[in-house]
Amino acid sequence: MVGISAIGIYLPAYRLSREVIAQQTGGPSLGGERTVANYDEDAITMGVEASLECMDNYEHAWGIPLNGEILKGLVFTSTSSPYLEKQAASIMSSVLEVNHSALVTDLSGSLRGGLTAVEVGNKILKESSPEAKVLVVASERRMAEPGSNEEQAFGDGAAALLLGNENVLATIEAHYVVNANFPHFWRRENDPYVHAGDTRFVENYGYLPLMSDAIHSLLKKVSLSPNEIEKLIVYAPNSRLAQQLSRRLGFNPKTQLADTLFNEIGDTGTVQVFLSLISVLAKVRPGNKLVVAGYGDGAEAILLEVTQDIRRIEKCRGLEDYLNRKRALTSYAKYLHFRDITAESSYDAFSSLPLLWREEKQNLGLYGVKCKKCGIIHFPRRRVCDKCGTKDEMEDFKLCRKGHIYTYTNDYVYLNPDPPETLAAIDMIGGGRFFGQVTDINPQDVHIDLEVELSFRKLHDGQGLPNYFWKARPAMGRK
Amino acid sequence: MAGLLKEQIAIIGVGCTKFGENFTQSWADLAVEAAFEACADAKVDMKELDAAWAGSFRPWISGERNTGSPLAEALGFVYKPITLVSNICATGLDTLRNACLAIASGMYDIVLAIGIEKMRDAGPRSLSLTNRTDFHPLIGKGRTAPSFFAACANRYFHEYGIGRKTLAKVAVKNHHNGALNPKAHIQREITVEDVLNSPWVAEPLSILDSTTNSDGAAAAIVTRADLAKSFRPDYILVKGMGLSVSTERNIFDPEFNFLSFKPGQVAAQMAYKQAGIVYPRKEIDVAEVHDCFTITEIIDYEDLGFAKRGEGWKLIEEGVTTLEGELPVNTDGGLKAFGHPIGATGLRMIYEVVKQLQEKAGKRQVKNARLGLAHTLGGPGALAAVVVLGRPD
Repeated sequence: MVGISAIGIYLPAYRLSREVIAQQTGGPSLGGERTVANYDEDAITMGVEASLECMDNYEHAWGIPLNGEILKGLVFTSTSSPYLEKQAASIMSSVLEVNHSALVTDLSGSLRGGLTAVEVGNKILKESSPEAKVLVVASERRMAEPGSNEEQAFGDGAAALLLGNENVLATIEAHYVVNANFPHFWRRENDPYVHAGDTRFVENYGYLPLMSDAIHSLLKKVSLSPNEIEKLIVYAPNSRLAQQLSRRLGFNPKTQLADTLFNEIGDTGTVQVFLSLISVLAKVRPGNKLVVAGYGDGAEAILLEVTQDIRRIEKCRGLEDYLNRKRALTSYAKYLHFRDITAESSYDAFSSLPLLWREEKQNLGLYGVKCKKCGIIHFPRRRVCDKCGTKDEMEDFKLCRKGHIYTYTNDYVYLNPDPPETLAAIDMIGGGRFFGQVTDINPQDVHIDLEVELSFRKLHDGQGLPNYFWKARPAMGRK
Repeated sequence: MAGLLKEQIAIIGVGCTKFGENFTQSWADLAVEAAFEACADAKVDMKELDAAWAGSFRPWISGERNTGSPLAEALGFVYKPITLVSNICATGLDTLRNACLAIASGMYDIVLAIGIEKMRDAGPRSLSLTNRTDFHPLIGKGRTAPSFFAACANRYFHEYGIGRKTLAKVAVKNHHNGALNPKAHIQREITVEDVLNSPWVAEPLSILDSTTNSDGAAAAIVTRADLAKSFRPDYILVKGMGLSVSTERNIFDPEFNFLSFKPGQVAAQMAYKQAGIVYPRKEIDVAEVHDCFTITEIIDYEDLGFAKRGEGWKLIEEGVTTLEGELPVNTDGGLKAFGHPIGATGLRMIYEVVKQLQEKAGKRQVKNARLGLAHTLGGPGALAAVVVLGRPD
């Protein structure tokens, strides 16, 4: 039976207190804090992070390396992809080296996309070989108008679920969908910010009836009552609404309702229900039944049953790890800069479509070469070895994403929305050297021998393209 | 034998503009001043020159083409062979090298080597920020000259246990020399505290650890040694020239230690071999080395064989390289105080070494200088040029 084989989270390091936003924009604070993507992050970069994390987690949980070749599908869902025309998933599939004949697609437009993506994965896997896998990734960096309720409510982040027919932590037992034309949140082609409908109206005539319908119908389909469900995991734009829904359906909000993580993270759109699910999976027991429901243009719900293998999730990097690595963003002005509201966070630099295309294996796949004659590892790739002079006698060498800083600096001249710019030469584990920017780091924390890992980021917007590459960031470690 | 000059080459005239933020002067104005001063010094008419080499790293940032034509236009030196040379910070010395090789070939009798850089028509950070907008869109993006040498300094501190105070003493020394030099960009003494308290450029390097963004030009008139005697008795011989070019992707090389620059060592060995130098520390009387940042001068000492590996800092602490020291270095203020118009720097060094060897260096004159050296380093220690000059007597 199809189920969830591994989970992956990515939360940006920065947190912005809602009190700080309220002080700057007037009006009441919604309390708590929200996640904020760094200036070099977007839905694609965070999606890559969560995907890599998910694949690493699978390897740690099951002791089996996971190769992108085994993926039969990669479904990326977001309402805030940096591209309106062009797939985000294809960029991710290059980084992850997904099988070229896999079903790779974006699901955009609806906050319900995560649940739909799981159903797509479920259908693919039912027709695939037992070892096949599908990666479902949700990622958001939604834009809210300064001073709006959504500016405080929204959060940025990503989550990935690896689905499979075997080696599963929880199985997908049932699915139910209710379609409806109901604009609760929307954003038109030229709108910079998300619009939200009148709260009383959209909650009472959209969210509550549609979600109730989907969840109620799902339970009816499998002949279960709310008291047989361990946790109800729902998308909700605020905590109060989730509690209201829970009561309306006959669930106990105190014991059965999963945290929507509004206080620590915020409304992460398509991502939120996955994050809530992942935090629940860390605490459940075999045999527990879970209802997971997404909302947007209707509602969609699935029933999960936890398997005997659930304890393997302890080997995965979980929500706590990401909640703990936070850095406070104390400046609202910096937040506006990061999001291109008061100034451009990115810039135009030389770039070239043919160049990026030629070098994709190196720049997205992190492939250098190793000289067959003298053994030196070259990254970037070169045809002629500068050590021994041998021509075209190189074999591919994929850089490990972990390493230690050999030397570094904090540069105050280079223009960067989050100065100073930390740079480092990094000796990668297994060989090869990387030289580049270090992100998500306090300048006083960088030092020789610091353990770092490479993180997928946007360097700039040269040639009208998001120019993606790797930066380093302090290693998060693993339990 | 390969690596040696067949003909003896001589410099018979030098010229140098005041370096600084010369907002009233164009690229062409700088070229005119340096070239005509060199011709006057050599007592030759511009029209007598057979050919010219123009060194300019980025002529286009002041609106000039990257060809020989801007020099023809500036000097009215038309229908003659002119070649543009561009090799980042080694541009000036490489320009001289090409001029010397042309003389050695026997094709020309008297030629001009001139380096010109007009930096300040572009913004104050234009050089550093070039790395942001130009070149490979991804590989090494974010590296600037300060950040590279700062990374070297942090590693040097880690390996050899010195700190910012030692680096600051390089700046103090070079500012002292610059204060004695009417052509220097910065003619002001500073203290160690000034350096330590000045704002960061790239940790651990502050503004006063760093060179300036200057305009300037410098020139030399080059001929065969047998012809030189007819121009002046105190001509100066080019005794050795080395140029070593490597890759800027050294920053990705797992074997690169950020503590020494092989091109500097190789270029020095080439020049020393031609000049017959075996013990550079003892034989060289005055040296101009590439001090784009304070740390660079210390590493240069080691690369040039003035000190053992890891002991370059001792020359600063012991005062060996002051004006009164055993081996005075950067007597004109260096890049640090004289300024660093990229393409002009190597020829500015030649100007100073020639003046020192001719005992015309005024307040900065060192005693009894007979053999002098100029050294420039480009990119992330990716290329270097070394020239050794000597008195004919």
